[in-house]
Amino acid sequence: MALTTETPARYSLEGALPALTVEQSARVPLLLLVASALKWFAISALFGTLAFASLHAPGMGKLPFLTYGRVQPVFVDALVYGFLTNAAIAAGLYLICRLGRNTLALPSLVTVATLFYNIALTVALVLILAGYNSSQQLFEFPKGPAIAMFISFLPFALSAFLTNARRTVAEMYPTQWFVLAGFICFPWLLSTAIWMIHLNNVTPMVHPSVHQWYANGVVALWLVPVALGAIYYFTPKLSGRTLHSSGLAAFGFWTYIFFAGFGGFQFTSVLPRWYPAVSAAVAVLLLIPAASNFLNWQRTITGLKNRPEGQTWHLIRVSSVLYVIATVLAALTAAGNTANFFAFTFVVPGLFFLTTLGVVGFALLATIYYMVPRLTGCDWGKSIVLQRRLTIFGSMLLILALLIGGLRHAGGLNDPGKDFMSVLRSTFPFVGMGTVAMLVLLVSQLAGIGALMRNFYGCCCGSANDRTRTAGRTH
Amino acid sequence: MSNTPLIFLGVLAAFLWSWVTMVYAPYRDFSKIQPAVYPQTGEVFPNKRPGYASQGREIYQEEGCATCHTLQNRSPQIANDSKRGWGNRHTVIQDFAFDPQPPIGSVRIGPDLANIGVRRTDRQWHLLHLYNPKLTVENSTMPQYPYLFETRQIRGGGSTNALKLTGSLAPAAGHEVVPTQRAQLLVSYLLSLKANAPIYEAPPAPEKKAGNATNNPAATNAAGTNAGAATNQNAQ
Repeated sequence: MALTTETPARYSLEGALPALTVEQSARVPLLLLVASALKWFAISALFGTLAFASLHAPGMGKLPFLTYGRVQPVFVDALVYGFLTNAAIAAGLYLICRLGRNTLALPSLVTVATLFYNIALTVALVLILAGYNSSQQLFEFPKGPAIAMFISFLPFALSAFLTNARRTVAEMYPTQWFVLAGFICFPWLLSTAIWMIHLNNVTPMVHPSVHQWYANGVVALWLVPVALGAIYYFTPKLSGRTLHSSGLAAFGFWTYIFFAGFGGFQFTSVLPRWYPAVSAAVAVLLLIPAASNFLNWQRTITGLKNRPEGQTWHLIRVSSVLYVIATVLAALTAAGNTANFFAFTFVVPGLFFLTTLGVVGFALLATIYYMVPRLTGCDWGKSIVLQRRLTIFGSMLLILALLIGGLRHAGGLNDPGKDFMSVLRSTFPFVGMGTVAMLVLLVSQLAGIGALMRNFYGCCCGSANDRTRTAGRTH
Repeated sequence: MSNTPLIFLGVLAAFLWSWVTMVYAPYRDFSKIQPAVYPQTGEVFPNKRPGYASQGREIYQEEGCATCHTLQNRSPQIANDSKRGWGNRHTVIQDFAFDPQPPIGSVRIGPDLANIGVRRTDRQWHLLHLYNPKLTVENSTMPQYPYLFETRQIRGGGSTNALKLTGSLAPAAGHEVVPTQRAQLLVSYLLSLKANAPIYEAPPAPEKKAGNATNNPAATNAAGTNAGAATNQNAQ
């Protein structure tokens, strides 16, 4: 059954609000979220550069807040909770507004919540640098900022549900399913982690399972669903085609949501064996939604004579291909001898960045590229091309450095005859590649911030020639 | 599919399913695990770390040691960790029974430390390693932690804890480098890391069975990793 973002019978725009009205209602909070996202991406890249550099120049970190153990969590948290979460909120709210053809609910509250969320995150990262580090990956921050982040996220979820409930288009598109699922899952994930790890006096033996469930969920049940929602939105929209099958999309959605929460458990022996066994089985089962989603997207654009151009399309295509690659690699490395071979090596962060930077980051950047000109009324011009190219190059270089370096790391670690330090030193060329990749990402995000500021300037103060007024735009 | 409540409830059900399985079930099972006594030795497992070591764990977490080091020695049946000398049995969850937010780590940029308290028992070695890792491990890539030490004027006969530094690292005449309390606490924690208590579900490496004093099988199921632990008859 075909479903489209254009005008099929089931997706009637009759009585729907004009796109311009919808976008103007969300302008301030969404632009604030986008600006915050790009700022955090640059901060993350800066700390990432310091972290990678300190791996091959460990002497640079004689100051407490410059040691690898403190800088590295700030790098990852700024990426996940700074760039990706701000961008996912912005993209999610925008897509729900657009598809429901409704104004954003509670825009002032969303604006205030954005400010509070980012202040809480700033405090959390400063505290990690100051030594208040729990050493639980993706949950390093102390109790106070974690609770503040949870509370400030609630208005985003509330706004998303109210906006969707008041939509002027009755039919819900697959994008809305995925985005709403993300907004349901993240508050529950965060509140459970806070309750079980920080507040409730449970036996510490529960903490590793709660932590690994949470860390997997933040990516698999919050960020990836929003990214998949964006791919489902832009693939038919930019190609001008109807979505191949809404039934297949529903199948891909439910299978993904039902399985994704079980993944991500390390194939190690600290937890009882059934944990990694379930997780490994799920990693294989997730190939089913990956195949159905990708098939749906491919069948949608099959036979397309004029491939769309533009930043958004390129990034969405790269993101959709990386989604399949990431799922296949996760399945291959989830169990048995391969899991043991790659455990504790650079392959682990390599796969993490493949999903976060590659799949999620590219899909969310694509949404930002599409959204900002419609919110400000000004085109990006060519200024954003530099950011896109450098972001793709830097991200892929980082992922490849970690995956290929991880192969060497794994080969050495699994050979007990090899001295540990010599194994580590054999990965240094790849660590160096990682440092270069982070520098490239830093430059790209500075370029992105510059492009955004130019866009804001063109919107507020530019000449009529700079502007692409969106009045009369119907899509 | 336009029924919002259906989507909401479906997502909630899916989420609840994973929550019950991966969070609530272990909460229910692990909460029942109780310390047990080994009849042969009278030792208790799992047991609390000494107070200093417990405080040292917080410093281990604060400094982010887990970003480079794991506390997860793997079974000899599946990995070569024991052949590297990192421990004779695999780490189990009971090893962290009294360690809130156990920093188990996920990447080995440094060696596994699950058994560092067995492998390296010399406090001075650990202090020197923290002050300047290259003093103890050639080509080490570990950062230095000079801020965990204090350079001060020698008072009286000097501190018994002063680092024995020579050459360019030696302090100025009349001065000494002594570990701060944080450094001492951190080393206390490292020395307490011993995942070697014999338990039924984590058999040690086969080649070390003969004559290994720590290889006596626990007469009781000291601490099962599953519901079996709940039936522990020697629970205290």
